[in-house]
Amino acid sequence: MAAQPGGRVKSPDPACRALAARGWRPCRRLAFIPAVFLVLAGASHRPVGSDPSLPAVGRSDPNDVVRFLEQATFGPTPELARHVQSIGIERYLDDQFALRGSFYPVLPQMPADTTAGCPDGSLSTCLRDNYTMYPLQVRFFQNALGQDDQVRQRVAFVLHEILVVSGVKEREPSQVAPYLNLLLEDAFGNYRQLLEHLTLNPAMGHYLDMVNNDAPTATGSAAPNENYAREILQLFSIGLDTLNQDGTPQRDASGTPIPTYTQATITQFAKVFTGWTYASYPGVAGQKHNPANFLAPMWLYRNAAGVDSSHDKTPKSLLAYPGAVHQALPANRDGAVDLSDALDNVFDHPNVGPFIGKQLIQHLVTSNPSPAYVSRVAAAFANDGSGTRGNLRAVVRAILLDPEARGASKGDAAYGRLREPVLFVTNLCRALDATSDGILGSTATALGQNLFNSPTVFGYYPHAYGIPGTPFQGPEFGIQTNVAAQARANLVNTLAFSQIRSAAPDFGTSLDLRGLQSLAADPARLVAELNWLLMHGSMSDPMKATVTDAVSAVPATNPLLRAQTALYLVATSSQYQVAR
Amino acid sequence: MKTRRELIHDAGRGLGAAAVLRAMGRFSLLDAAAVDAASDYRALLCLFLYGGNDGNNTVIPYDDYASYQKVRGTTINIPKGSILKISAPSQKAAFGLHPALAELQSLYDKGNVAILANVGTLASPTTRARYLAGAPVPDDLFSHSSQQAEWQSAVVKTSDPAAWTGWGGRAADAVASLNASSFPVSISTAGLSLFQTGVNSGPLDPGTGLAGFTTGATSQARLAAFRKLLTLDTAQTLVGTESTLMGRAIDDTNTLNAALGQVPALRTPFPSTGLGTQLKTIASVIAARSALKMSRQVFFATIGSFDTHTGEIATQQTLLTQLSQAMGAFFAATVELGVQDSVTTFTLSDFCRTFQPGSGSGTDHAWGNHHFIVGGSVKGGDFYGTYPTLALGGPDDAEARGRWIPTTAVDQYGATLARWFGVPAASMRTVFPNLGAFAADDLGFMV
Repeated sequence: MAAQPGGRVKSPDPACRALAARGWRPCRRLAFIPAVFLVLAGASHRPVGSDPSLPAVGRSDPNDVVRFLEQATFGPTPELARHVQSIGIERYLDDQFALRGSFYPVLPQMPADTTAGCPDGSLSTCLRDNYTMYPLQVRFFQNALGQDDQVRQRVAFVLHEILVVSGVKEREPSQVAPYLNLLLEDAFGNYRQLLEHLTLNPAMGHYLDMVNNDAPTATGSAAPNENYAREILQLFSIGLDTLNQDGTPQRDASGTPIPTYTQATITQFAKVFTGWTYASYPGVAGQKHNPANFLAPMWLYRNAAGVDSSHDKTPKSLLAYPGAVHQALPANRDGAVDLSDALDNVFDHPNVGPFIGKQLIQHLVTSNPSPAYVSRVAAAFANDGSGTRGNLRAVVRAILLDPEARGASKGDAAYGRLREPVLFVTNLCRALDATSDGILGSTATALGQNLFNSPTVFGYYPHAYGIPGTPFQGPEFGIQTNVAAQARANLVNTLAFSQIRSAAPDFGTSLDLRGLQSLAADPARLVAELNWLLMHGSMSDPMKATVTDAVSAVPATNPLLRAQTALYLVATSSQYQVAR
Repeated sequence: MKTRRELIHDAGRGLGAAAVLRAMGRFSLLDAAAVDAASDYRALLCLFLYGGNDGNNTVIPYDDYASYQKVRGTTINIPKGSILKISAPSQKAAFGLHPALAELQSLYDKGNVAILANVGTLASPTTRARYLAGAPVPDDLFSHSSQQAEWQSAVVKTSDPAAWTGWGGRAADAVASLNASSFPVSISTAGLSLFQTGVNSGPLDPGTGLAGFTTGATSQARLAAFRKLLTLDTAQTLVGTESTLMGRAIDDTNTLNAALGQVPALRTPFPSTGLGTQLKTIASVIAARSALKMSRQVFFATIGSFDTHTGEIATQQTLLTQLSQAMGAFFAATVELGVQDSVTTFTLSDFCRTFQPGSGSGTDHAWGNHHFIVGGSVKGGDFYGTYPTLALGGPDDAEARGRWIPTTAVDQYGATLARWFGVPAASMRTVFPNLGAFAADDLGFMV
């Protein structure tokens, strides 16, 4: 497929440089930047908003293409918008489903002796670059701004917000990177497979305490750990309330939602998740509790006789629902069989489609999807058209091609979603053809989203956050404090009038305003360009007039200041902050 | 001549902060009068311990240590020799605090700390027999998100629209008219919380305001356009929400920062921990109460990572040390400011943890918990409520792992604080809709 240049990303990245100083292997893979970005980026400051030379192909009108790219990617670039406009949204999605490219470097674990891990240079810089979330944050923004596999990255980003492993507890990139790579790999796979992969991922195992979770000893002094049992049900699959397929809760006669499970269910699932430890390193005999190993899936401990003696062998009673599979697990079965059957029992629960589907919609498209929209996506989850349940490719396609997602504008008052901090940053950088070193983690943190350091397993913000004083949800408003709101405006101020600076030799992040500047003689035309590129044509007439007047008040002799003024006003506006 | 409030609003509209401060210098005499007017000052500080603090290892029986050790064993128990012994006349027995709580022990012994035993979310008074017979209980017991919400809203039915606001926010709404300013009653150093969400109010976070404007004409024109945009397209719900939020953010942040610039730095040292920094900020805001024309304030701060499913001993030692040191410093700062009798600090948390350990030297999600109330107006040095019988499957256990059925409700805990804070009796059922389900609406731990 055609290349789609995004923001220019120059190598080497900082994490790479730190490792390169020692000649470590993972670093060399870090430097992978497709040369095509560097070649094409220079031509990207031509305004292309309503280029009449472009053919109008199929359903993809210029504004809907931009809107689609706000939902499906880390934001439109002018070139990518032109590309999708020329081939059509569906063809672009098909190309994207087949595309791979982004990945996170798998860094070594921190040695017990930090001076061995950081033999020279600044210890604090070395620790940051190798043993914190920092190198993953840098790589994230480099990928988001520059890599072609935009939809895969975007869906994996959403998955990491629903299926949380946080650097707050899993502090080293050696732990978290394999998990993030798993999400990239499985983003368009099957949800049943994803559930199994993440259940056995050692970072998840450590984060939610399934690793080294043992069956009770003879004395019965310690019960199976309930943490993973509870969160896989509450957060990763079915949620608290029994749902209709349209995502609304089923209610009893008194109007109360019907719980999906009780504490007794958790106690039963806790037994399922016993007996697993870290994988043994090659050539090393397995122990009941192996030393930490974040590179391979967890492993069911078997004693010398081959028996999984840390697994709870009592019978288990799992989720009951119409047509439930494996509702009861008999006694004395192998731990791996128990696990597989239990995941089938969870995966087949009717809640999974609407519960996960609605959250995917909220992250990609709109905070308040109609029940009918959720229902259509849940149906795609239940059956991808060829009889397969849980096909995420079909789910993503259903979400992004739905009538409620497509079209250049939406009339429903509660439609849209507040751009979360990370997406706000990437959208702005991509739209304005940023040159960036990817060092944007602290920028997002200042806006209230500390990338890969979700405060809890519940994510960066509450998935069901209700907007005070309204019956509507607005999850991203859950972290939009007065400080965060003003920090967004101040970031736009920095990017429009200056740049984000990094310590040398890194070069920070700066926008390319030449395209806007070239339109500055005609303020209305300048505003129209931003209306297309940032707001997919949704700007109201009063807003156009307000911005145009403010731009016109700047002397025409100062086209840069006109471009800066227009960008500041549009990018700080609530009308832009809320993608709708 | 402009009023003080007009000047503050000017700051929001772009008049430089320095100019506003210079102009405010003229108001020093007015400030002195404001101090008198605000001598009726009361503040609540909610400290939320996110994750669910293990109260079983926080407040430990001393005389009856044997029933504690029988279940806690020798891996996640606090050795009797290291417990900080305290008396609990109401329980007719000696207890002990976690060894990390030295500052709280000292304040307890001086009568400035009360302990509320086995308090939690309840739909109505509940016994083990009633629980096992299927009596109504709070929605989604043992779930972090649900129990955090129920502790903060004092509403245990999640489908009830009253659950959309918090009892701190509703209490703030109820006393807002006592303040001589429309500045937010609620201040948070931990972002947005349900606790501080009122019907039409929310918290302000201290922090940096809007940057990048000068007094130059083009800059002012840009600011005017920025302000104008906040008034457009507000019929779009999310756009209107963001615009309202931003407009208030600019004005209130300018007001707060102008006031903070007027007060001298605190002399009391605070620990350089996350919680220490938060409580220092809150103490600074209290110091600026006269400049802000506030006589009632609700504060919210948090400390997290109490979800000790594994490795509990080391984690809790670290967290409780931070908690005790920060609370000790904060009390000292209220003494420095002369408001120790006007400020009451109290703890909340998701839930207690199972008395029976889980695999991995930790504990799982449970229910009724023990909490601290700190301040000069607290009738401290004793326990309130009833400490549970520490027996698996015993009279206080919801089932068999030691999930204590609360003997006191969150509603009663909050109402006792709210009455002292000044919530009128007529508003009490608005702030605590389910208070009528419980016998006592004042537990007696406040003067």
